Amino acid sequence: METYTSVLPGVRHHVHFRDVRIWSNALLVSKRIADVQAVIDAVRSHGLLDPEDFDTLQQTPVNVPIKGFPQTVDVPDVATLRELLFENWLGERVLDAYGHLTMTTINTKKPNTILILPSIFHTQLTNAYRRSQLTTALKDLRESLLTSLPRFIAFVFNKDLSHWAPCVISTAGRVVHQGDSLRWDPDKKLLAMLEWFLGDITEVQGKWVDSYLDVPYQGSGSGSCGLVAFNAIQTFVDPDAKPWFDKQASDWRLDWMGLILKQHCTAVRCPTVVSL
Amino acid sequence: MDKQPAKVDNATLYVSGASYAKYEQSPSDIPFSNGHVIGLTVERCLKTSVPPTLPEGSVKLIGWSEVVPEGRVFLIAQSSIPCLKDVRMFVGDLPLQFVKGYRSVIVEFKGDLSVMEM
Repeated sequence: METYTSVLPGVRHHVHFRDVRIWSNALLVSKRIADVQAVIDAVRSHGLLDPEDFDTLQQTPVNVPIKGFPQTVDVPDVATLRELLFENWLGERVLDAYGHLTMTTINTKKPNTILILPSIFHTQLTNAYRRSQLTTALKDLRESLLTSLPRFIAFVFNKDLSHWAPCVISTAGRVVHQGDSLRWDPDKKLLAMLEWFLGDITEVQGKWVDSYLDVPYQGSGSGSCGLVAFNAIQTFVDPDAKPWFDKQASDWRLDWMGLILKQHCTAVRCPTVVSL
Repeated sequence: MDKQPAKVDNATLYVSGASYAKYEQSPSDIPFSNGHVIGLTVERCLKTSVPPTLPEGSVKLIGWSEVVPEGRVFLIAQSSIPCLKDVRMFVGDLPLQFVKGYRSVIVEFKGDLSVMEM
């Protein structure tokens, strides 16, 4: 039974921790509703999903990572995909989800072409290099590369906690390619760090060298550095890939959203079709 | 409320985490409980109505208490909840205050408000 208690100014009230948590959750849900609504509006208005996939999306939990990706990939939930609208800056989870899809697409055409590492890799490598000690995760990565070395290893990394830039390693030539969509300076320590980490895994040993990676300018007022970084990786590895054009940024973003959501819906409806 | 807070080490915090989680848990059929929020689908989320928030500063943190309140407080003035900034003043401290023995937060509502207890 609900009762009402008048609270006068200056009168103190005891609130149970569970009720504070409920206030907090309600405020969180309020933000989530806005994010999810924006994503659903974009999906509807741009026809990103067919009706069957849209029904699947409607039944998707909003606070759980989307499906269709390996457990090793830290993927977004539906609300987080709002980052793909307007000129929002993209976080690691959206980038890593798209990176996985890109890698899968390229390697489906030509097996073992590329390994796209998660966005945390650069931080892991930097920390390991400073300590001159590999973590278990990096040791495992090296082991897998010794077993099967792709033609290219690529990743995006963060500069000044605000800007994504791409790096592509050509393993045969031991070349580290860097570029930047805002024309910021390359990471001058990256070559040394990668040579330290990968120096003895290439088929032919020798000197490692730096090279320029052609990255389109992202455009003024743009928050699309993450999208441009991945486009630079794609066009470097696959010359037939569509090049970035800043006037079409919103189309690129919707394309990413559609691909990630389709992967999720396919994995939910036909788990055996999505190979992880 | 007036006793000096005990010092809490990380090991104590870790061990008490489970009992705190149980203490702050509401049944999942209660709107905005942890279970309710985790189970929200896109469709249900978009049909969820969140109460409006009170203006900033409507809820003032006074302190912590060992009293376990019997009634439930959700809506203030029969229709609203505190705003995020007000709730953030104390929500992050709940686990630590629980370890110290506190079981409720003492707040003062600004203005002449009615509190609905469920």
